[in-house]
Amino acid sequence: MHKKIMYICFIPKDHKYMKKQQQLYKGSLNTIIMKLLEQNGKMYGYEITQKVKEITQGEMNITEGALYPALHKMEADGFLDVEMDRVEGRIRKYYKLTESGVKETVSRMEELENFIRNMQNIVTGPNLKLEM
Amino acid sequence: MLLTTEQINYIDYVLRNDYSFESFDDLRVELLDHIASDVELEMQNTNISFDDALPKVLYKWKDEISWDRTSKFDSVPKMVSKLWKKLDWKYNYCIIPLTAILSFTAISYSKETWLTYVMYVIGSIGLALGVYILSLFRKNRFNTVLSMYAKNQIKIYISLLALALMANLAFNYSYGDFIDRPLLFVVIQFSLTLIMRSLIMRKNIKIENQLLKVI
Repeated sequence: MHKKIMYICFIPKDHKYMKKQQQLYKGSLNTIIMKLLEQNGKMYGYEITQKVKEITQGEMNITEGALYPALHKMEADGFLDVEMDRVEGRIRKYYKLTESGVKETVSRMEELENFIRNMQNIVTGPNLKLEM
Repeated sequence: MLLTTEQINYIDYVLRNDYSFESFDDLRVELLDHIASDVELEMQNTNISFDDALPKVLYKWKDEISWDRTSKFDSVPKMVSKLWKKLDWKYNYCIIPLTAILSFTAISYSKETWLTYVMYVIGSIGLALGVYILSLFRKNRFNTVLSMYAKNQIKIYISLLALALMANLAFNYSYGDFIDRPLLFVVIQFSLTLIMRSLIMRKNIKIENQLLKVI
């Protein structure tokens, strides 16, 4: 218990902020991956993690434990297709969107945009009144 | 800084022997590429040797590539057991309500002999698919996450289905008619399981063809 309190006390401010950010991003992981694939055609796992880091300037870090289960689930659901190539002495597995994956991306992006719009209205809107 | 063939082979060796990825060729090549890319970046950014960079990178992966001791699947990495659990929901557990619905529907046709023949046809299809899946395993050059999932307990399912069909047939002969089907539930359950497994194997063929292209 004592150790735990010490740990919480000494988490740097940045780390706490990053953790909160990660939680916000978590629910949108599949949509983010699909959007990236829509923009870039085909990508491999490591490339996706690096691209996300680059776009979010290091704020979002997709862990290996989250990325591959998400990719494999979307592959099993038929949203992603795979292609393998031999690159730099090893085999590289590329992911790309299938036809149903493209449709799914469009609908997920719409959902995400609506969500962001609603959140923005709530955050920036005039005095929010909760009606019961 | 690109890794040498020897270093890449060493990562492959570690994944095969220290982390039980021997039976999952498709996942192993994918992880190998990711880990190798990460090691290269680590060596370049922090100016450390391959021997120092590899454990550092593997440490990031330890939760995913170690055995999942809480899982019902024996000796498989956590990554694999996670995916298999999802496949269970999609291809295994969904069969139970479907079997229940079909079996309850069959109660309304309890005096119809044609339904017993339908049951034997479904059971035979299940058996034929089971044998087909086994023959695919013999021909397979690679083991993948999907093929190993489809292979899991398949011999038990085939044996139980064959036994259920034979027991029902013996029952029909002893009563001299084809009205009774006490093992209908079992036959439908195992037949659907084998049909689902063959669907998984169909998906697997695609992955195997990709592997064949590059290995």
